[in-house]
Amino acid sequence: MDEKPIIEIKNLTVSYGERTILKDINLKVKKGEIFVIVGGSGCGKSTLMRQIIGIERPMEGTIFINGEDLTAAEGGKRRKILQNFGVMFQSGGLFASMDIGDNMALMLESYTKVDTDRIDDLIDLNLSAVGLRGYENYLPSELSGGMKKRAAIARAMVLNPDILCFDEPASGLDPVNAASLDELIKDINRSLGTTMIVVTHDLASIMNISDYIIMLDTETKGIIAKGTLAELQNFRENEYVYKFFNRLA
Amino acid sequence: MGEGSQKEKNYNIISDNDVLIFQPITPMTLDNAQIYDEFTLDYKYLEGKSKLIIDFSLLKTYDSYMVVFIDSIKRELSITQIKFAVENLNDEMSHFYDVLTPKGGIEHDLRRYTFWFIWISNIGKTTSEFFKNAFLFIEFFGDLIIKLFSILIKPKKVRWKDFPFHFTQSGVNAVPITFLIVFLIGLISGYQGALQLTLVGADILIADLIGISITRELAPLMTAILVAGRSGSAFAAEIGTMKVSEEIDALHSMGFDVDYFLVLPRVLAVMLVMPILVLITDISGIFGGLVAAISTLDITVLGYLNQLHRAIDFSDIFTGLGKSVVFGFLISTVGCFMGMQVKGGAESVGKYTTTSVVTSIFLIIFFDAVFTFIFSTLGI
Repeated sequence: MDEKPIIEIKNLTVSYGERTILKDINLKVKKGEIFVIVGGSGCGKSTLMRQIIGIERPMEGTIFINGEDLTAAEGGKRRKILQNFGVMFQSGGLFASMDIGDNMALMLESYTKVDTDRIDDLIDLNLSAVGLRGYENYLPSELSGGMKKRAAIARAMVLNPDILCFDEPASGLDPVNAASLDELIKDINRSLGTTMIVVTHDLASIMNISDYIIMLDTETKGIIAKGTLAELQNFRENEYVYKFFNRLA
Repeated sequence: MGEGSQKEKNYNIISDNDVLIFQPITPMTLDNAQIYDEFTLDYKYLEGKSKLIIDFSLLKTYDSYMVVFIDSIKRELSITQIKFAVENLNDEMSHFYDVLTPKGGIEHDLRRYTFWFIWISNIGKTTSEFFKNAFLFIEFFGDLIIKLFSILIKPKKVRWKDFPFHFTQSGVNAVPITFLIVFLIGLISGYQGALQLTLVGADILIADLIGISITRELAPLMTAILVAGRSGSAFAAEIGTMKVSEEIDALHSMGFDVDYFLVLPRVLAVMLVMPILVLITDISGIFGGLVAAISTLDITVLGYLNQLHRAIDFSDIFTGLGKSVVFGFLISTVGCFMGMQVKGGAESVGKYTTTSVVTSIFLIIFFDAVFTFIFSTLGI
């Protein structure tokens, strides 16, 4: 695994008005790893992900993507940096008025000059990769919750991003579907080497997929613990962290 | 190997007797798709060749486009006599290719449908949806009429708590806009009428023109159209959103009748508020006509009002008020019905909200025509 971080965050602070959500966050994500952000409800997990993918801007701090400063970048440069990301939102975020094929074609038609026939092939290829081959003419409303999430992953993958982000992939899914989605995340990571950022509080997912974990704290608004699963299972400096990760074992 | 030709160093094309060797150099990525599409979309290089070899020895960077590139050539050459081979794919590339090569899946049409196919199938879908909705609406409409009468026996079945809110929203809050619009309609009709009446020296008949047209037609019609735009759409959106967020299912599961709980308070509020609004707009429209009359014709305020008194009688006012009750019923019923039809997500809410306004306006004008025919037949 390459040691150079693909994402580096320095002294990140996020506030909404008077309310501080994240305070002085520092982290590095290595290329090719599955980086899991965990924590209780309202600790700022999703906010941190939204900062990383550039939907929101921080009050303080810097975010480097592939060595480029996202926080200072504007216009075309910012768009170029953000094209490093593919995102699967909690509810999928698929456009309800478009079928799955059009949801994916939108990105290819807007950001590449790929021929129309090749666009169809790329849609087929990405849907096959997530186990949804043949569903390009289905509307999102015609798919089950798990299939919607898979389709959202296919859409996120279509431009071959370096980093795939997942917001609560297991939410709303039964354990079997959630586990199969975890397997898909692992498969894509292992076979294509894509870096994964996963926001979750699903214990089974954390145990199954994580290479590296950070835990956010609702009280301090910062990172309370970080390390591999094995390290955090032996993290005795904080009782909450120790209990949280040992419930897994 | 024979003489080779080169294309701007993006790739090499080497001709070796009846074998063509294609060596990609430029990164084979989505960004460079156009460069490689030049080759895959134009097989002129393959004339007289019996084999094509794609040699990946010079390629360093690639993404999913590489898989598509190989597969598309493989697919297109499979229906020709030309043989095809891939050489010098390193382990990493082979693994990438294997992982991403499409496999399995349900039966499907690989190509997305053509514009004409979608167009014709949309006509079919829209037609069948129209008839399906029409039947459902008739059922809903009939059911609601029965429930309206049942209130006379058991008034407590309706959730009266919501009634004042809907009455205020649909009625009181609509007064300023309906007043202004019908005032302007009266003013415009007055000015246009004045121009024509002056030509035949019948200036005073402006009061007849305004009085009858406003009370019988324009005030009820314009008020109904405005209420359909304000309240009908709001009902569709409110109930539709409740449907999406499973609130309607929750009501069903708690044993509530949605018609008594959600629909009838809205229907009764609009039915009751419509004649009041029309009475107000009758006044504003006549006032608009008065402004036009006294400012363009040689008519006094008293003269206008005297002539108005002679021109209109209670039947003119009450036909307008009577119609408005029916319009109110139509607007609220259509709004609630469309809200109930919502399924899926936010997009469906928007679709049915729009449909509710269009359908309400159509029904208002259609029933207005029916009323006009009935009243003229009965001599009212």
